[in-house]
Amino acid sequence: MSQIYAVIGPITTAVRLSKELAKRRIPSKVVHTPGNNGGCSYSVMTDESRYELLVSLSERYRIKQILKSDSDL
Amino acid sequence: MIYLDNAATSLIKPPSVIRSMNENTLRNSVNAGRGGHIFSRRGAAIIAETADALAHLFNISNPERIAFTSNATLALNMAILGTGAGGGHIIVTSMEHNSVLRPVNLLGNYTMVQADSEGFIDPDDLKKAIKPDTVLIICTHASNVSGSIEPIAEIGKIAREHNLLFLVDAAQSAGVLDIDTESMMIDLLAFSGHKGLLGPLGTGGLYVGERARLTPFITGGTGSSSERLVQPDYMPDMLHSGTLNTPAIAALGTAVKFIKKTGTDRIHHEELSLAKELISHIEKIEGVQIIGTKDMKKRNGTVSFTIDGMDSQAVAELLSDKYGIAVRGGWHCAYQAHKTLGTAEAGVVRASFGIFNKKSDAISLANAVREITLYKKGAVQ
Ligand SMILES: Cc1ncc(COP(=O)(O)O)c(C=O)c1O
Repeated sequence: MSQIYAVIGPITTAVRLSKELAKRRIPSKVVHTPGNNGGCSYSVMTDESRYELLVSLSERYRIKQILKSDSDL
Repeated sequence: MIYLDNAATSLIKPPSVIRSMNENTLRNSVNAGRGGHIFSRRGAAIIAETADALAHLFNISNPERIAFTSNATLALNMAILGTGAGGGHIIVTSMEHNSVLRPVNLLGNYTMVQADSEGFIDPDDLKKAIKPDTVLIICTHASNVSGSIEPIAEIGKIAREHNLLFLVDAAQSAGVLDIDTESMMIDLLAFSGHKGLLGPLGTGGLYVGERARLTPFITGGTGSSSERLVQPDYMPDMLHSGTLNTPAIAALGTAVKFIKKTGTDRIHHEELSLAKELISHIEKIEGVQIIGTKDMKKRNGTVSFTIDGMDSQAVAELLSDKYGIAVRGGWHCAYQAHKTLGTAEAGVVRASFGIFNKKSDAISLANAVREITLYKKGAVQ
């Protein structure tokens, strides 16, 4: 399964999104944004099947972009 | 020793806060948001959890808009210098602490609205002080000298009607009085964590509402957007330069839980009943003047008084050295408030009660004051 990254600025917001996903029983992990996307900002990594859900949570968790595949990195 | 200087800091903390401080120092002295490892994430989770608890206490819809600081002074400076940097006019009251007046004076363009002789602000006077270039109104929620509770909700309404930002100094009210940022229309809320909130020293914070645009005056590493030379423009990182005191913030979260469990209504009521007890005894003593209103609905658990012909700092020293009672004399970093209250010459003796004080503490102070006045008159050798 491929992973996607919800790119967020502050780590506290990333932790909150990860908690929200956990409440929905969706595994995720707070990681440094991979590649050179956003310096040492934080992202939430989860399964790519959650793309639509992340889009719907974008405003609330200030998701700047969703990196879908290795080619985005 | 009897500690009656809770307006400076709450010396006695709930046992759960001490435990939290110890445990988190041992296990969670971690640097939130520095690195992607588990400790960095754990730190961030702690920060977020305390922000959630505070957001609930102050009715803040987005906890990410709370930044942690080392005290209320830093939070006030961030809010004032961050809002007034453009040179806009600021309205303050004569009851403010120097942590408001000094940064405002540094900026220069301000009007100080006088409170009445009991320390109360008339919201209409604030309204009259509004100028075309006014950007901000600042008011303390409760005075650290007279204990007067200011009409915050009314002032918030005026600020909103005139499209101005409203900054409340909650150093003396957080954890004791109800604070609702929504209904009180507060845009910026500065608070100490170490006073009424019963958290550790070195804690405080600033809530920055959606309407407020701050220019951060402290910049540096935030663990985010590191590729940019400019400070992140998003909260809380915008105001979180440098390493945060994670164990203390964790313990502040524990303290907020204690406050919520106990209830601010109960805390306020208990502190007020001790203030009432003290006032009922010392108001009868010849030569003792109580400062501020005696209407208990309009004040908090801080009681200031003078003894005719005696220097307030000398009285405070005597109370400490001879009677084992810690109160604070002098001007309490709020000289303008003293000028307003007519106590600028000799200052006042301030007794400020906390949730862990007992009725016997108030009675001991009253007895000591009575004895001091008798000594002074030469009635007792
Ligand atoms: C009304 C008021 N504002 C601000 C402050 C500053 O608080 P801190 O000591 O947390 O910086 C105090 C402290 O006594 C205060 O009483």
